[in-house]
Amino acid sequence: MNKECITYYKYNALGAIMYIKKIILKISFISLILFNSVSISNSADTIKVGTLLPYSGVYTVLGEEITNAMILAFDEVGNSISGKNIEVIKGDTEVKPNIALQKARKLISSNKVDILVGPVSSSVALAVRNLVVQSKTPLIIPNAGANVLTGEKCSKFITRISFSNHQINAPMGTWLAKSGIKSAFLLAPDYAAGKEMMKAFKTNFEEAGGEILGEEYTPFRKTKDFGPYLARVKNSGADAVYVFYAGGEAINFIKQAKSFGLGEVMKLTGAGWTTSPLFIPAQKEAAIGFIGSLNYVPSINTEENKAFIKAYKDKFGRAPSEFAVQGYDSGKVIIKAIESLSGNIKDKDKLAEAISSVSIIGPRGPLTIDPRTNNVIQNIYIFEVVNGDQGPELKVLDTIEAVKSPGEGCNL
Amino acid sequence: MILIQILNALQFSMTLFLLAVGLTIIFGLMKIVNLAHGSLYMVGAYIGLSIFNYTESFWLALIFAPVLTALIGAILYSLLFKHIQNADPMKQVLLTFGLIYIGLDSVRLLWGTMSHSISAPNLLSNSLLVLNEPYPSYRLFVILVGFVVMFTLYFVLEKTKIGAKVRASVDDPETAQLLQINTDKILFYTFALGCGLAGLAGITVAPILGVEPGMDMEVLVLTLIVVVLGGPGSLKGAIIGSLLIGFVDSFGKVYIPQLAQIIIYAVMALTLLFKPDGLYKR
Amino acid sequence: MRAANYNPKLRLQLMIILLLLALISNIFGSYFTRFFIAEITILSIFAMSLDFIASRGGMISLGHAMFLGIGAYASAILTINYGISPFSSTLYTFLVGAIIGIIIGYFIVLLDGIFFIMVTLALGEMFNAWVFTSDYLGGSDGISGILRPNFLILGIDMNNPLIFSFYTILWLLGIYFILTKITDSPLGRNLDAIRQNKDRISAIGGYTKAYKTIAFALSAGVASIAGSLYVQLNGFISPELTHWTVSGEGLIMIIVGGIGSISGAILGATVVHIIQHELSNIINWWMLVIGFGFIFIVLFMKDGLWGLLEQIQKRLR
Repeated sequence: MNKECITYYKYNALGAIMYIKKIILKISFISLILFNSVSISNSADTIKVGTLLPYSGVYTVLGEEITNAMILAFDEVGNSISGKNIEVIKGDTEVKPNIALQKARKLISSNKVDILVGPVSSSVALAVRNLVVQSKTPLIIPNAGANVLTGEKCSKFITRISFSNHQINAPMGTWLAKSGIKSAFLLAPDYAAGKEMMKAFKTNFEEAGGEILGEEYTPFRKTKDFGPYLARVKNSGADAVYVFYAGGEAINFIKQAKSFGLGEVMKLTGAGWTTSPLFIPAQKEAAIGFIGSLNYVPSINTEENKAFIKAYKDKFGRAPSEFAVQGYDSGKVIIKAIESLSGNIKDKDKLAEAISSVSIIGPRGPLTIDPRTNNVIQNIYIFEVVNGDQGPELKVLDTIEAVKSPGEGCNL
Repeated sequence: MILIQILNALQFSMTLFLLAVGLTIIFGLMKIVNLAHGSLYMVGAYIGLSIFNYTESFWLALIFAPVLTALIGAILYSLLFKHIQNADPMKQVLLTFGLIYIGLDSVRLLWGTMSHSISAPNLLSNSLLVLNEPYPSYRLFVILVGFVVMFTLYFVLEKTKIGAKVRASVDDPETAQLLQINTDKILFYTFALGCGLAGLAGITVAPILGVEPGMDMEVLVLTLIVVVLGGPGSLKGAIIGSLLIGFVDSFGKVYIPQLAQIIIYAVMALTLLFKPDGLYKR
Repeated sequence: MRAANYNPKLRLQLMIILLLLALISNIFGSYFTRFFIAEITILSIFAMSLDFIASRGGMISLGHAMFLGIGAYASAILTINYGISPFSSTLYTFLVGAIIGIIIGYFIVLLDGIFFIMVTLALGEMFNAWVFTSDYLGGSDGISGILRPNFLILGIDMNNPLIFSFYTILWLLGIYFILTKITDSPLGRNLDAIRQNKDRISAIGGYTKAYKTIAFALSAGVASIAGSLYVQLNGFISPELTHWTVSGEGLIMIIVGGIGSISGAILGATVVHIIQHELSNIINWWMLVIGFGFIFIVLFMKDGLWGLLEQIQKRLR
């Protein structure tokens, strides 16, 4: 075939492709309109729970754990409350506030969900906060810990079932000081949550007589090599280093701290996620000796916890993490709240009130909602990572009961 | 303590060097910036992870991950880059940009989104006493690897016939071809080598930094800065550039943490202002 | 990239078609569609800014998300901290963006294309890192509670997504006309000549650096406007907007749309955003698709969709 033939065919093919493309464009536009303007009918017999969680990206595991456990809670009541079926509609936030906002809009205005559960990240929570409040859609937060969500930006439509950054770290300040630690060096990632956690610890630690010898913040999610910081910490002469890390950073920090022999000259302490059961498989023996605080540890010795761990393991094949527990409790709160209204959830204000009046006994222990801030009141467990039969595990050293969060700037 | 910090900086510099040298060699020869270089670094680490999980041997991972990454590079070259060699360099750069997306999702599909870690081999899991301060011996190993690669490359490029051929292909491809140097073959092997070096960086550093999604872009920018600073195509530039950035970054983090990030960019900006082609020309 | 001897008439035709589609979808669409259209419009403005320096200056930037961020954060700070009206803040952010554009442009416009990409990528990352840790800018949580322009006196309620969507379309049209006017003007011709052969122009006495810096500053200003509108659409701004993937998306949009015609950028923005949105709802591996699609277009469709349209038009003649 000579060149002209080829170009002719090329034009033909290209022309065809372009024509088809134009049609596709038109069709997709029209279908977009139609699909979105036809609202999915709100059957009076279904309770729609929308999730606003990460199902892709770095926090995928957290999103999945929370959702799994919440669905487990629904399954335990046969997936129906007061005779109505529960429908779970998922929205993937991708941990991006603007995407999350899009998905939230869709869930609220197109899918017409009755309750929203989410998010994992506080920046997403802050992004959707106004939308949730304006649309009067009750939001149950199963993770995001920013103090301000049950502080300045609180609302009767927002109920937090997980924790506030303050709640997890403040008790450690007091406890460590009382257990003989006189000085500490703080290390955390440089973003809002890291700073809030350190502040909570610092205030209480200093109040109990402790001294802060140094405070450093590492570039958030960009720090892989803690070498320079570890050298500084080691040189400070503090009795303990107090940290908060999660995800890959937690794994790296613990491993590198061990390789620098940090644990031999001072105590390794911090917010409990740093040695979460999710990361221990990667950290292995390096985690041993870490003292942390969390709102849940697998070794809590109650019937509710044992039953939950077994049920979760049976259904999903692995032991549940603290994130799963938060999802499970969210499910239970929803069930109890709707039952208290006998399934009548038309009135959004009443639904919001019902949610914040719930008290349950979950795998974590007893939970109630603080009426002034809508934040959960729960036990905080101080643990130490010790060597167990199946590898390192979290052993409870102390339980601090009914811990509240100050919630400055909120008065519901 | 300052010795520890120097060692930290040196170790970081070596990591940057392993990455930068691959990128700069490719740039010098093919005049393109492989934006997917970070992706190859990441792929090398993940492949090493799989080898490690399967064989429980770090050494096997260390040897075969770079080889496999080089293989991937060779495939990419034959399928894509070879055909657009003579096209607008911008086009080739855009191509590599598309590869980043493919790399990201492929890794995610094959290995999931969780963070993984590799243990350093038992031989290197302890600490050596350096002037009475314990320092992780694995980090010393990384420094060693960097130096070995550095000297090997230098020796090969400057002192061997093959090296001469490569240098000729970089400096003047047309004359080189006239002299019966098979520039196509050289391009092919050098590209694969560059990719292999990226993979080597990935697996070498994995026991320290872990293996997780997103690791590709974290290093890319710093690597680009090193290459731009040192002068694309220059081995010497890669060495000096990575040492400079490595030390500025490490010491900056310790002594002026708030400005640490900005300082690096400032250094790059200043250099570009006075020496737009980088410190060393090829 | 080829000579910009494209067809102004086709450019206008495309623009009109897209405009009609937008208006129809807006009027007959749902609450959610209107937000979506507004988003596409804002992204189109961003894409136009990228297209402008790519086609008129030969500069491909991988760090332009930084100007989106500058526009967004500046707008947020001006309205919240200084009480400036949202509408004026959008105008001010154009100035802020343009001035910063001049300062940065001065250093980098003469860099060779590949260097330019690397440096803009690095600068974008620097801005991202800074914004993340800056307490003044709200750090990782960003700033929320930003209001939209208040035109209630005129009886227009901007909080209505339909109205705000039209508002963004108006901005799009305005910027489109200004950019096309510049492109067709002597300044535009000059820039195009510079893009084609920088050295030749310098040799005959053209002020290459000055023209390119102006182009860059203009582009920065337009991107800042997009940022300002964005923050008014969503009511909040967080550092994610300045991530390199946003710059990357912009690049994909103009390649898909085809560099060179301003309305091609709008087409590219529309297509890419819709595909991304719909695709991510259906499959998990949409980034893979985008990567392959992008490579395909770079290899085989030099001028993107715009190029195809032109070829169709030629055949239809």
